[in-house]
Amino acid sequence: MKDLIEAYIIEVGRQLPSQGREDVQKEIRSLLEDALEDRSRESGQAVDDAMKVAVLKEFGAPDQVAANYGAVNYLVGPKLYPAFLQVAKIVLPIIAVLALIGMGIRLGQLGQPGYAAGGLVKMLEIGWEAILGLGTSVIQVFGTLALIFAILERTLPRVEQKDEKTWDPHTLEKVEGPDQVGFGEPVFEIVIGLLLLAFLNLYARYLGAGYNAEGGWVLGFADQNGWVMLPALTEQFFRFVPLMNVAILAEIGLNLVLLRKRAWTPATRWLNIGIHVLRIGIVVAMLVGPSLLALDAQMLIDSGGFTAETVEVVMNLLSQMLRWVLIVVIILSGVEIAKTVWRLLRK
Amino acid sequence: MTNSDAIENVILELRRGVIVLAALSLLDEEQYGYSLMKRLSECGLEVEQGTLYPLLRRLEGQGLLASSWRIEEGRPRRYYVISQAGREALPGLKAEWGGIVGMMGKVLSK
Repeated sequence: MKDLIEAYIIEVGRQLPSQGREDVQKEIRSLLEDALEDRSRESGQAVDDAMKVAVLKEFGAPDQVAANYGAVNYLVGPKLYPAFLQVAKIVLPIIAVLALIGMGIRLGQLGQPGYAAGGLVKMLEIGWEAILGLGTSVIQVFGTLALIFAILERTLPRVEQKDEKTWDPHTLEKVEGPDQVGFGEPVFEIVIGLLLLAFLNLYARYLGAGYNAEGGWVLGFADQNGWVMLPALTEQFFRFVPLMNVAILAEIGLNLVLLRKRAWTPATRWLNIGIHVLRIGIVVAMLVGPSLLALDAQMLIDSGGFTAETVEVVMNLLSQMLRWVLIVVIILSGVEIAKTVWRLLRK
Repeated sequence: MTNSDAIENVILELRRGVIVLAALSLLDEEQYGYSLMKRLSECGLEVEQGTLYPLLRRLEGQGLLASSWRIEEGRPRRYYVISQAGREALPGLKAEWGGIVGMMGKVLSK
């Protein structure tokens, strides 16, 4: 059995930052030995477990002692926590809506050729699966967000603490100043950028359409049991990934600079224009170039998993969705460029 | 939290406020942590060990104390002593304390 004193020192040390931990542990050991020696001398008794317990109780609970030594550890600190909440409040409802749409599609397919017959039990089963899926997705997304914010917490430039003498009220954010940058927006864009990078580089290749032996179909990622998945995106799409990475990384860099300066400057505005021009260039090239969709109508029909009707619906849906997403990106980037140019000229 | 817990917390906060001055004052001569706690206790100032020892390290970090490890009776002890910066700051801190006592005397007599 571990000695009580050693167990206590280890427990305190476990909660201390690694820097200086050994020194603090050495000091606590020395102080506890002094206290035990003093108590033993005063009572005229040898040190025993009861005496150790009394001394340790006087010294304080390990977590309290560690906190007094400045061991305050957190994943997301008070500075980033509001932005974390803001992003979570936007992303988590989107996940819930997607889950509801997915459930709606599955309920709508009940009773159709190739799908299970309808009925209350089947509907409840689909509802229950949707709830379970939603729970898993929420935990995964929440965990990913926590991980991203924990990384930001440790990598974002530290904002110097201002004391009463050096703090200047003029440094407060002006509500109406178009050059002022808030805290939430850049952090939100950094998080979205990192999520996009993860999707493009890790998951995009697995996105596809799947079919099963019963003739049902699904859109999603190629990790579902019992489904044969066909990739959704062509090599043409993946040729754009390096350029998209550059654009996203540039945007993340821009937002880090904005977080640091908390205000737009002509240089950051020009960089913003450059990023949006690059983005429009990529998207236009995607629109006018060869198809980005790997799913081919004939291939899907030949696979035997899809009927001609289903293929028509799927292909139409996908190509329209992709086209509109690209058009919306061009419009949004165009508006951003116009706004930025107008602010540069106005200045 | 009960009423007596709240009062006990207030008393602890009041004591914590004076430990810095008391420690700086007593560390005019070199002492290790436990002996300083015993001396404070002899003066009637009962201090939680978990509060005093981290405070000594903070004061050292602020340059008001200096410390060194020494082997005594076959085991290491960390000795603290007031630094030059601490010595220079002490008269001002004592004057501030005198001012606080006078001010609180006036506030509490009303």
